[in-house]
Amino acid sequence: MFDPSSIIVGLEVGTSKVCAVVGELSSEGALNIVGLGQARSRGVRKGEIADAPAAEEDVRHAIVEAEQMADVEIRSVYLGVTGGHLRGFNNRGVHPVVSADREISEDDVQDVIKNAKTINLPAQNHVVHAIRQHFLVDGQDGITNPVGMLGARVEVDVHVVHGNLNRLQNAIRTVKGLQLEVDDIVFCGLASSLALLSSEQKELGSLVIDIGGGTTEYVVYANGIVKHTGVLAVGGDHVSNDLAYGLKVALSRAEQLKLEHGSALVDESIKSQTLTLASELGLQPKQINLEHLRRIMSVRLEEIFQLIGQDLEQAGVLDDVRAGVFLCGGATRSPEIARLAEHVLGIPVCVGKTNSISGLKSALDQPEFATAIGLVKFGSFHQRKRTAKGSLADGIRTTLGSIFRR
Amino acid sequence: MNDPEPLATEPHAYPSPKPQLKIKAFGLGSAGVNMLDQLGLDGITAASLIAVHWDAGALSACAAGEKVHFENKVCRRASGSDGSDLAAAMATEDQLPRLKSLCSGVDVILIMAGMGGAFGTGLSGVVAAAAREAGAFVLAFVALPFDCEGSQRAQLAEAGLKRLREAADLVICWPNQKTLGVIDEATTLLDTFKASNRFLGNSVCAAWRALGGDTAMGLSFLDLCRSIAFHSPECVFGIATATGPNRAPDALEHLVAHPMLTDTEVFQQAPAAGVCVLGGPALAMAEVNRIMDQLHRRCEDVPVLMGAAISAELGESLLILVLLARPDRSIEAAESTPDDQAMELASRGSADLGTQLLDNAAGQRRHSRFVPPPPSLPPEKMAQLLKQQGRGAGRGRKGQSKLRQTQLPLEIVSKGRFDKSEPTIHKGEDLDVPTYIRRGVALN
Repeated sequence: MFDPSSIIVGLEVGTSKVCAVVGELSSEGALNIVGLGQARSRGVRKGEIADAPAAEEDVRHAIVEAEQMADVEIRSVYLGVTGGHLRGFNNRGVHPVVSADREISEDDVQDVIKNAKTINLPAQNHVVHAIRQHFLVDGQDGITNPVGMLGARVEVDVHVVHGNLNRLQNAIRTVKGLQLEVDDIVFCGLASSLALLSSEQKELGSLVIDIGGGTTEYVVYANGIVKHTGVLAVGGDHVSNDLAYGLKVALSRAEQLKLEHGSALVDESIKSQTLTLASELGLQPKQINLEHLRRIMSVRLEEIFQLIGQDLEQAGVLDDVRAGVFLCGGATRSPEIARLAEHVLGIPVCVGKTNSISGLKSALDQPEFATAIGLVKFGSFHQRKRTAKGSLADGIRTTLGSIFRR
Repeated sequence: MNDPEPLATEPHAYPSPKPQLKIKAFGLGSAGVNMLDQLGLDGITAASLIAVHWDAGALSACAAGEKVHFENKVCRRASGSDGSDLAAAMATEDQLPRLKSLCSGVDVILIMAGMGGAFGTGLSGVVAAAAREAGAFVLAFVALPFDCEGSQRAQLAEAGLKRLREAADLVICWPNQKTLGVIDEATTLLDTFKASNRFLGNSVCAAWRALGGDTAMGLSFLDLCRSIAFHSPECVFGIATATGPNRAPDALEHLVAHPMLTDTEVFQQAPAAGVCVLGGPALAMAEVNRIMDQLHRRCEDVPVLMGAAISAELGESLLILVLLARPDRSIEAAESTPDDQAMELASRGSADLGTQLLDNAAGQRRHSRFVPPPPSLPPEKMAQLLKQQGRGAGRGRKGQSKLRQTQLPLEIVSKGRFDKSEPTIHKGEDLDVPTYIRRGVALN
């Protein structure tokens, strides 16, 4: 447990909450969640840091709580990033095989991946992920590993997620200000999909929609690979804001109304029903039409799904989603949201479960923890790869490094 | 009431087989009366010119044969203020029979007025309606105010123009701002207005001649006007004239240099175009062919109607008239106007002639402001658009008609907690604004 490399922490600095999940990687490579810390977030708007000192304090609270629960000292985290500036697109790299026997070697594969990652981006943009998709050998599609095959030309598709460097740095700096290392930054949508989807679902084709407080991320998997990603800077906060505006109540009251009486669909039976709000300021008690409340909420959520649907259709990946749509994120708690999404997207929809990880089952199987759990899972893949790759010298270096870092 | 005087345009050498068209010209208000004077100078018989003004002094100095004096108090009070509706109402009550009688028995009525003031702006629509009721084809030539005259006046002009478009058969606008492009820095204010009047006066005169001409080929000018009016109530009108052995290419050159036609887009975006070539008895087929060939090339895919007419009084000179129907883009134009105006005002200060000409040629923004105001919409379409605007009023600052420009924005939707954050714009829509407002979901 005290080997630092076996402790993996996922940190999500979200718009409504900061959440740190501690996972432990056993020597057999099994992941176990041992700790969870969360704090209300105050310094984040639409997934991005707006008030750094407040965000830093919230992160500290969450980390401390997670440390106490897991009884470990957290040194480094996998940090989830999101925001409207993140973009995803597919890129293809090409590499001619030059060896005499036309056999594709490991080096060729590395070269072609390197080529695919060479993307012409504006200087201020930073590539968050370049996720390998399928290889093509002489135009033959769908090859997972071309090493050892014969061919004249290797190509590879990568899905690139990139964003504005400065905005990404803001989140990283906040974490580093707390003397924590950032192992890697991970696109939140990707993390959520890792937490929710089994490999079978990835193979069959799934859409994961994570509707958080300030942003909505979505990821499409098909044939086991990431086909499409996207972010909308719209989330549960927008629902509350719409309610506050439409019902003319304070934002905090709107938030409360959303949680207590909200629904993603407008039911016929609630027509002309009203809620009476007790007044705090000695004013007349306020009557609120329940139908209006649900209507406002419903149109907003419907719009989110419509925008996602349009984007997927434009990208031509909507037909690849055969296993269904998996929802997560805080807004998924709204009743009937799956029905609404199903109605808009025309694909079976369910609220996703993070059941592919052991430990703290009851506490963690909540839609809003998917991202943080996914971050830990991402970290575990990363760690495994590192340990698998690490030679003796590397091992010594890491060990020494970690000693000095202490 | 009106005497069927023989018109000055009556051809002598080639007597027309058809009865000559009866044409009368109305000059309304100061600008209109000044243009009438211009026509008088060009040799149009005074008897067919009718001046309508509230200022007795200006009327008595005018060369028109028929003078209508408005000394109504309502009218005077209205002058100089937002009195367009007042003047219109007044004219409708008191002077309508007089105006109608002046219009009766006339084939074509030409109306000249300056838009933006109180008198011509209001009265032009009334006269046009009266003339049309009397069975005449109404062709209105109006000058629009300079940009520096302010948005109030521009709005007034726009409102008057809208009424005029509905009342007249075809409206031809001359934005006075265009005059700025052809005068130099030292031109006095009075000369500038004279130049402006000359431009419109020349246009009216050319139209008069073309109407009086003897159609030798294709459509008559009146039929051209009717065809264009079928496409749009407003058209861009350009004329060019030349004499000498090279008159056809020269006239073409002048035509494309006409301030209204310098922009090739005007040609390409028109729903329809009409060309009338007018010459003396010596007008050659090759000349007509050459002119039409060039203009066809310029108009690309636009259907071009043509006519060639002979008018003896032209003698050695050649006259080309081009009518381009205005595309129905009133909404965008109305939207773009305030910005353009602001930009124009900002740039006016230091603009000397050289830069102005440069701007005219190259400035993308500038050219759009030189396009005359947009054509009117049929009332039902207007109602529909207004309704849409009402529904989309969540955007608040967009889409309000030009008339509302000086008023407070109608409805600004507060974005609540997202007020200070970066707006989430998705395909031009601000997603921070509540969806139910953007979609116009009614909460009763």
